Amino acid sequence: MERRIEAVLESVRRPSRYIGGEVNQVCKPQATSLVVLCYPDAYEVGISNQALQILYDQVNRRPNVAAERVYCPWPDMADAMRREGIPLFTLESWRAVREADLLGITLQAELTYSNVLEVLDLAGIPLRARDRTEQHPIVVAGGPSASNPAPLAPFFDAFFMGESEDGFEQVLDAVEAVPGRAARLDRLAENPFVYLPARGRHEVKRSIYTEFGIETQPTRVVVPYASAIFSRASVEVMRGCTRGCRFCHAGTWYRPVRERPAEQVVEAGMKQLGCTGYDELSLTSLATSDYTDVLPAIQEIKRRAPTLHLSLPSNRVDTGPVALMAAANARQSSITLAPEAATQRMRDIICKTITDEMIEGAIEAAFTAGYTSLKMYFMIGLPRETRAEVQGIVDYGIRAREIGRRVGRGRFSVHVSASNFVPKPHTPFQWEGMEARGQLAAKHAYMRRAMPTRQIRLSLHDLRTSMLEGALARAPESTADAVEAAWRAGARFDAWPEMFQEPAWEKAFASLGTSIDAEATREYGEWDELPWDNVRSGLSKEFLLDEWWQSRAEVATGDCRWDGCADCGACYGPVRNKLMN
Amino acid sequence: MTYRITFAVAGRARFLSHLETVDMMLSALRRAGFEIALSKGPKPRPVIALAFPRAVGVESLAELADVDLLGDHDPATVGERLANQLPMGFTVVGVTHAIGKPAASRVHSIQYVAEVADDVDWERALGAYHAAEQALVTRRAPDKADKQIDVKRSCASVAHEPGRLDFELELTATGVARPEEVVQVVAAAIGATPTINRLVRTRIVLRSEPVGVLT
Repeated sequence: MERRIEAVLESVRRPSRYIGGEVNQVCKPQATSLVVLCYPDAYEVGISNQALQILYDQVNRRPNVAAERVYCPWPDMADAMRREGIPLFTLESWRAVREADLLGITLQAELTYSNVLEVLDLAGIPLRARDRTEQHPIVVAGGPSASNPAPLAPFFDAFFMGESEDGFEQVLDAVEAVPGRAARLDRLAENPFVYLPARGRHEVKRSIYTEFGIETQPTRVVVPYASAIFSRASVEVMRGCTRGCRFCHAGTWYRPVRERPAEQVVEAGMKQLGCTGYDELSLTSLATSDYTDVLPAIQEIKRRAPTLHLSLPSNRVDTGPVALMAAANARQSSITLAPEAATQRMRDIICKTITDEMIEGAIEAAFTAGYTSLKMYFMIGLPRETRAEVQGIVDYGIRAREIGRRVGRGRFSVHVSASNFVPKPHTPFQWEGMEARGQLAAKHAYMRRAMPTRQIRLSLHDLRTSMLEGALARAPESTADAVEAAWRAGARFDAWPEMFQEPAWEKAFASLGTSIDAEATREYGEWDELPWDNVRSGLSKEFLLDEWWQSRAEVATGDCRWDGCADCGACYGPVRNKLMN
Repeated sequence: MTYRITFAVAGRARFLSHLETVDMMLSALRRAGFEIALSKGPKPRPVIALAFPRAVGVESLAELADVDLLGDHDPATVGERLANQLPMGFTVVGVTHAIGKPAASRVHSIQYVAEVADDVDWERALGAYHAAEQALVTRRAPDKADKQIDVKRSCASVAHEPGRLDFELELTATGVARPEEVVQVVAAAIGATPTINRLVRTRIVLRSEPVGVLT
């Protein structure tokens, strides 16, 4: 097969996506079981995913199990593979994916769903789980989007819910110790974190990594070729977030908060830099400025590596975090702030507990620190949004420019980005529908007209892909037929605007007697059975409902880190908030 | 201190692009424990330059990279430590101190070997190629107008051995032909279509440095 693959690589774009052989990849020809890990998007997106690096390391720690990787081939490669009869192959050994014992596919975003089917088809694995036999691997989904398994349920043998470090070990035990697909599925049925759609709609719990020890933070991560979207070392300093933003799926799905001690973070970061050769280290989490030991960690890293490019993504909008970012990375010229909403009313609705003073303070601190490019992220189409909120975004662009002119040192630019709100399962907004496409389009048009262009750049997310994301995020199981129909009509790489084929999706939904817009704007009643109700995230439905009502009352809920327990239910599980005090 | 690293690219590594090769070399040097000097200015970048971009899919016996490292190191040590950190398909051929202008500004020509199937009468094809005034190929790229290239303007020499064509491409003011274009255009001289099994860059020829005069 190698010669045929090499011949095909001569004619496709970016053949480095398919060759493997990167530094720190693991080859285990002596292994008796093969687990193939798939990110259903292009190599440069998938290789940057930290969760898959953790899983790759976790599986490869088992002496007799090999983890190998595969990504979704770009259409030119997929066409060539079909033409030449080459099945989907892993990067490490160029073995056929269908030879695996288990194929794990991470679902990080709804817009990769059509690629899941593309991967299965290229691998020669029947799309529907019911059509698979003992010859085929067990196909397991994981990742945050698996929290609503319904729209992909017929395509997977199993869904693993939550964090892999603890609960996935039992899945690997089953693969290693039990022979045969049917017997393995029987074993998986005993796992409380695994949902087997073929065995009826049963309850499944989210696995939570209770220890959150540093030993599971990989240090010998695979170093991608230059085309990856993120080429940097990263250490997860904290998992979970207590901010309680009502739109945020990760904010509820990864509770409770667990922090790592600063000295372990520093050691892991230094080791990873040495093993990878990166010149940048990222301290990742959902809100790194909330990490208790953020300052000592930064100081120690800078002491050991003064010229290192240190990045702190996802920070609270305030002067303190901006100063932290500036101190951490003197080489960076751009900074990103995410106020999400431009008025206090809307920030109370979405529970983003920051004030205008904090936002303006952060902007001023950024320009004072010498940043020359300021990016601000907002959302539009949020529940109960009025014209004032949309105007507020325009006003913030102008205000940021004024502050930049007043305190900035020379040339600068302001970049205002607005994404379209998409309600997600397991959040307080899970009952809300998306705003109608026409309304969103009108808001886009208004912002384009009203936003000045001098020193301000406005970007608006593609409405078409946002609507599809909305249609899939809270979809019922019947939507699986639409996913398959869209894929058969050519849908692939839907997150890539140049690849997105809206007509294929429109026809697919129409064949079910519905539409993308009808599904995206669907509102659920508080007594309705939700498609994902069998998935227990750890947060109580009562808490989510209460938060939804609080949003209607335009009241923000305090952060339990400082303002007392909000009784969300996360700390009733195997671990409570674990902070470094 | 600037070091000139000569390295080979073989096997699957040939599918890495020019920029990917640059990044691969930088991370390998860092893993080997070297600090790479940064350029001056508001956006400092590592100081590294490969002498001439290698087309994706072409192997090489002698790529040249000039890189500035902080500190003074024995070139042999640089080579040894780097060799342990290169990914599969890359091999260090040699490391020297680079003196004078960077290799990238002194490239005169590049020598290649194309392994070809002998189902073309190459001697006759070469005869026809040499007899012709021009040897035009049309270069097509998506979203760009077709471009006609006269291969003869940059192809300094081409010769046939059983199973291979050896040729040298010179840099000209109008650019340089691609190695596969040379093979195609020679075969096309007798209306044949060649089968290229392998393309290998064998040498990058640098112009000699002008001799300085101390005054």
